[in-house]
Amino acid sequence: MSKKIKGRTAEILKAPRSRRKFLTQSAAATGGLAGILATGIAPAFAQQRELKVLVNSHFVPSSDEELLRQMKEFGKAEGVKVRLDRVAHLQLPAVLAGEIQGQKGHDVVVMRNADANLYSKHLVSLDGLYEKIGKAGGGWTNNDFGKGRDGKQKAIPWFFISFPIAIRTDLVSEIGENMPDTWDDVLRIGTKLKKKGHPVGIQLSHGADSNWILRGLLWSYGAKLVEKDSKTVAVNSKETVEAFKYIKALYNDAMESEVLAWDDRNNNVCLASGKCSMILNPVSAYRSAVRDNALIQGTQRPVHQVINHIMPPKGPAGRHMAASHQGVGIWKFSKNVEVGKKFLDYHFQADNADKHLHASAGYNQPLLKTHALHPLYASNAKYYFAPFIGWYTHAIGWPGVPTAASATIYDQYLLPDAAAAAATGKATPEEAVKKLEKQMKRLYGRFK
Amino acid sequence: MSSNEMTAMTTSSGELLAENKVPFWRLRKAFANYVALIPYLAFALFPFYIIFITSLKSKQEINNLGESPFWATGIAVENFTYLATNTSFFEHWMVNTLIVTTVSTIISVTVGILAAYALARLKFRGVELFGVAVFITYLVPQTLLFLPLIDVVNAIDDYIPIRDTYWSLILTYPTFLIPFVTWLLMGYFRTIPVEVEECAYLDGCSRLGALFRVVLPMAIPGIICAILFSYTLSWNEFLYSLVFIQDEHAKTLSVGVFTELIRGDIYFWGSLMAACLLGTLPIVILYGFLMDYYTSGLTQGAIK
Amino acid sequence: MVTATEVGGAATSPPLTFRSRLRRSVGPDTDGYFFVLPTVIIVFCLIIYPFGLAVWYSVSNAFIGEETHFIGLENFQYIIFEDDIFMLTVRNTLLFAAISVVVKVVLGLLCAMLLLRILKLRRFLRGAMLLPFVAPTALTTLAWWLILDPTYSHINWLFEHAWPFSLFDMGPYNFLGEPTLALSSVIFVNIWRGLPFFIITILAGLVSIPDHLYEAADIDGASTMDKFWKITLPLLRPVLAVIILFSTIFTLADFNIVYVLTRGGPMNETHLFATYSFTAGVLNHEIGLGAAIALFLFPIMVLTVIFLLRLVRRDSEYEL
Repeated sequence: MSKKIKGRTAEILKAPRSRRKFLTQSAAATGGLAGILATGIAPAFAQQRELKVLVNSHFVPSSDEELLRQMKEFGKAEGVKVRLDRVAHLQLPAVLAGEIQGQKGHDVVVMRNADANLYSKHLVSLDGLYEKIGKAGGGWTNNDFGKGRDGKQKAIPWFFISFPIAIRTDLVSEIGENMPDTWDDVLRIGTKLKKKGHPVGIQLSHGADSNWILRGLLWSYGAKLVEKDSKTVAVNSKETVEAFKYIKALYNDAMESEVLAWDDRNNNVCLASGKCSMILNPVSAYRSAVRDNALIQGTQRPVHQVINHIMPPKGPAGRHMAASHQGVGIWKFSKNVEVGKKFLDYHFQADNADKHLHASAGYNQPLLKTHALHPLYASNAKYYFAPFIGWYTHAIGWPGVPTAASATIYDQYLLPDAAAAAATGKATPEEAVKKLEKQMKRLYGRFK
Repeated sequence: MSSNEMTAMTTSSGELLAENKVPFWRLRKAFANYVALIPYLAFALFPFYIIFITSLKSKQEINNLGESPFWATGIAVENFTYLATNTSFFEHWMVNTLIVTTVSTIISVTVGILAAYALARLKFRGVELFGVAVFITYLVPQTLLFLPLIDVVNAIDDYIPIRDTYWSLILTYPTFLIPFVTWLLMGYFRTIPVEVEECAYLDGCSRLGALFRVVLPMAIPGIICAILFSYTLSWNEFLYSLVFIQDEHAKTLSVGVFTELIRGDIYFWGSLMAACLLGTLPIVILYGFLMDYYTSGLTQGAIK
Repeated sequence: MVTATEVGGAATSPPLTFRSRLRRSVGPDTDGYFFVLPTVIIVFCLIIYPFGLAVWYSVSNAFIGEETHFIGLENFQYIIFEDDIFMLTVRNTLLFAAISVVVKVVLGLLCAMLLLRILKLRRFLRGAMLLPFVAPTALTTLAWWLILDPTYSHINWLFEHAWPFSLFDMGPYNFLGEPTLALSSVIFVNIWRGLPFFIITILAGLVSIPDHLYEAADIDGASTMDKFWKITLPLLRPVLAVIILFSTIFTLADFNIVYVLTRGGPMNETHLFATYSFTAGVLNHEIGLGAAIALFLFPIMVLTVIFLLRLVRRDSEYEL
């Protein structure tokens, strides 16, 4: 019923002059105050083409600034207006939900983890672009990321965010220990340091960090949430129980109960304030300690001098850690699909991609092979881990691929909740695992 | 009883006290009253003190957990300048919030006045059902509505672009304002004697004429109360603006602050608190002027 | 009650014109429909239609971005019988509303009566007290978050360093991390925010109680307690009933405080209906489930309000 009118309105809107006329007419019709206020929506009418990009607020603000600069440069060359909107990372799902529900919104959107698979239906296929960028960049380091449910590439891999241990080297050497290499080391050293008032800080809460770190822990214990087919729930195993038992021990002996209430910021603060001895976090914790020039309590010594990054710990099944993978996709309902593709092409040119990596101060890590050994990582000894951590990191859904179901498990924080229940003794590790399995099976059942 | 009478009464009893010689035990008792209120005042104002003092601290000072959080060693304006230079706090968020609250308040109170008047005075079939319906809609939780409302906003957006502008909020805020305003004003209108309208009709006023010339002037405390309430509710609104608006320039205050100053794992506490401080000021000033009407309007309208 | 139109000379004479027949069937004030028309339109488009849509969602497997199918009462079945978070949510919401309303009434009465005895500075004090109520909740809750935050907690700092507290070995308390404490913190902040509304309204109610009643009671030799129970409270009951009604509605549907302070954590122990349905419907994409959860609140609200409205009706007899 509405198609006809839609078409006509669209026609009116296309011609700039009649558009203006329409605007004044409608303003006159509504009259008075409403008319004055209608000028507020005038820009929305007047723009011919606008490329709207949505990202989550980057943890290193200068990264967003560089992105916007590139957008503006691109817009000037192409004669399109550009707009970059940012939302806090915890609010991103709500915003994406709203856009899909209404089939309206931005053109280019950030697709984290398995979002591209989850929203597969609503994203355009970027197969050609994926191949082109990949070829120019020496190939992708992870070929599973960004695939839709139809097997097409629905998001261009952008960067990953890794979770090394950020550790207070001075505290570890004070107790005469070496840097922890295994999860058992973390527990032993953590227990000792907690007694001196420097606990370990790993969130067991509804935060992104918690989701990633706990996945890494499970994997290094040989446990997995799903089989390699990405369909069979495989969480109920004795490895998972072992991992949960470890978490319980770590929570009781090396951590404080405040980790239950933490969000993604608290571990940074805990480290920068000099309280925590080690956390697992991207380099932003170190970066903010540098930027705020936080001092070790009672001294004039900047705490960032004694923070270093080391590889995530090894478990009985090897060294594994989860990494947040970010990609960019284009909504199917976007009216600027071609412009969007052009922009992505522009943004992923070696030169621009390089600048974007630079602007994030080591936080964004490349998924293109040519960027892997970025000179930035050689500029600071504290980034030495960066080129190699990719060897040990996987996207969610591992050992399978990131799927819609795995995204839902992630978004619902099922793993952190189960781990917290086991750690606090609200449930035994076995019970927690069983419950987790039940919850997971319900959601995996949806996507069969 | 109007607010004037009320204040008159309190001042007269106050004068009474002052005229008689106040015995010492009375003074002591009065003093005890003030002292007894101190704990509550401290409780009520404590967060505002924290907001104020934190907004004056530098980043380094906030993150220094060893120092007293209750005192700032210096006055840092960096948080305020950050708001002004790095965010759209003043030029957009504040302005948007003002526009949205003002317009949706005007709409809701106008529509509410008409409906409340009909409910309080007019007799027609279905009026009671209408009254019940208005009240029940007031109980529909916002969280239930916002997902379907996205569909409604999008349907309208096909014809008039309101998505991602404050118009979507102006359109949706009345959903929780009108039922409330109607209900409040209905009670207030009932306190006004019918006779005054009858006189107006005898003088040849039309229904609307009587409403505007006779009833409304007598209902000013009630209306101001409704305005203030609508203003507070829309100034406070968070959920709809979180979902309907992503354009940084179209955001309202609370959502703008929440989404732009909390960046991943970094919180700009100083600027957050500076924003809290500045975002609270306008509404506090409004209340400062209209407080008396507010209280009398609320009690009058409410008890009928 | 004499209606205005009758006075205005509405015809009720025998010849049944169309207008008078209309009048007879719909009542004397046909223009009433025009008065309520805007409200009806807005309520229908923006509340009743979305409400219907939400009811449809609740019996469907609606999932963001996926096709929607009718699944009957499966969602309700799931939340009632399988979802232990939902049971926690029901418990929390009822505790949250009951405790905070009761505390607000008691403290509200206390503070209002204190304030009534204060003559100087009353306006100023009243204004200062109202601050928590008028300041934007999302922003002030951020301040509470800073105060209660596990890492920054100002209160723990006070317990550790400030004089009278530092003598006792108190804390540090995990205000937002320990389930019971976290729920208490949320209730505490709700009380902080809602109490001024109670104080100010009760104060206005107290002021309107005529002095001569107390004077008469004095002559009869009534004690302070007697006066409170026999005069103050009965006369305040209509006001109390109304603010309790308001407050219950706001508290039951509260979103901001929990969303900002705990986001339902730790371990989903502090969810309220609003936050849990937002979490399920939006963050977890399961719109159907979210709608079913939110829909559950509706009958609870209606029952509570009917109960409270009965109180108001009964109490209007006390009016002077």
